[in-house]
Amino acid sequence: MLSNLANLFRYRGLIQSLVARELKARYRGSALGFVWSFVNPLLLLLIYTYVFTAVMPNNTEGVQPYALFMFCGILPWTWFSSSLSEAANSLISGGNLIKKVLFPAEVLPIVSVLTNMVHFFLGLPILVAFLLVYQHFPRPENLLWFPVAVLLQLLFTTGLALILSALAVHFRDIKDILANLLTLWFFATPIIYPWFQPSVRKFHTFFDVNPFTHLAVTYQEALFFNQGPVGHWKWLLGYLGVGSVLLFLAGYWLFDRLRDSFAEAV
Amino acid sequence: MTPAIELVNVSKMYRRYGGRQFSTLKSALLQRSIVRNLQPSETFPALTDVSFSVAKGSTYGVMGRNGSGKSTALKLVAGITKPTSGSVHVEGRISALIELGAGFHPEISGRENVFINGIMLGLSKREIQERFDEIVDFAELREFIDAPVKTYSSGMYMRLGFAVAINVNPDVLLVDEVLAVGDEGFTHKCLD
Repeated sequence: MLSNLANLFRYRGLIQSLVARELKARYRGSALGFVWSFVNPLLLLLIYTYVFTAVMPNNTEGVQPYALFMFCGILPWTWFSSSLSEAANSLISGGNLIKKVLFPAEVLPIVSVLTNMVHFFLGLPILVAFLLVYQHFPRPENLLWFPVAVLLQLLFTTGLALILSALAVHFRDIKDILANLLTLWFFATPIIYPWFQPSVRKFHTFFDVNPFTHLAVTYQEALFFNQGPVGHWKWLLGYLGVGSVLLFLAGYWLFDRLRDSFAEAV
Repeated sequence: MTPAIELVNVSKMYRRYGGRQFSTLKSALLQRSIVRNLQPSETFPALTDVSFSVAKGSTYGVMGRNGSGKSTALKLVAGITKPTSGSVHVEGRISALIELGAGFHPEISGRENVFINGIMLGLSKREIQERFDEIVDFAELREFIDAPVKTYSSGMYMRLGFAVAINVNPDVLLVDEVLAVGDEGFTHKCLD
């Protein structure tokens, strides 16, 4: 397993060109092309702003402007959820490669995660623009936690993606279960409501167990709440950090165990 | 001299999924049926106790009826599937022409596909750069190399796939029944 893991580094050229291919192919033939990567999050944010300021105003104290608060959590969540749903399908849709070419299968789910990470990064300028429009400036020292959260999210998502993609080859139901599970997970995570809300604090054990809580809260603390320094880092590094490393290793181990069955089962 | 390819008592069982249609994730985890404890009725022997070796610098042909296991043997040598028992040993870089252009993405151009396909087959970017003209000329696709691959005819698609695979300069070249490519002239060029 360890030597295979080392091989992963050797495949960086392959991973790089496949990510580039996915990004190129996604917008090939559309008039706006790459601009869609900016337009999509922009339209999303405009819709949320309109809905939550005009249609059903959200006046919860401490999370104003609400659309901005929400966007800080939704952007990383979109990366997470689209990575997982694409990864779960990646081995099946890339079946031709696994069956017909000697191809390192783990590259496929990793490419799904990285492609969506690029989309996440492309959404950040929109977030920055809105921070400027609202005159909402995060504290510079808090911003240092942002790359830490991104790195941990990358590790955590990749671990889950490896597990899901390997199991989905044998159990096709996973794709449909996952779609529903992700919706549930989204609402069970403090993304559209703040984590300090009393109704959330009452069930804090439940929220603490949810790994994405710690990512969402860190993003919100780093980008949105600038009352004080990021207070959530112990959870982030302790629980999520250690957990992500273990999950990644477990995911890779499982993937490696099932590797030989892929060519026959996809 | 060590042979380039050596198969020793290789057997390959394929699973038949019919009988396991209703197996669930839960039962697989509980009974570990995922880690192979298969009934004989659930398997199909594709190869039984096959041994052969191929010396370096030689061409080795395998003939047989449909379903006799030629492609399975090829996939075992290529390392795409693993033998159920026995051992497979191959010296050097392999290029397998089991299906031409298997990794092509229809939306992007022939040029970009050559690079990605080459990297998949184990070339570095620079090596592809060096061989790019050779590949394009061999495939006779100079005019269309910047068009998306989805606009190619099946012959053009195959020719490009073949041109990339052959330019990997493999130590071991595996060819399944794919050489029925293009017109007579191109077929002769491939065989040379």
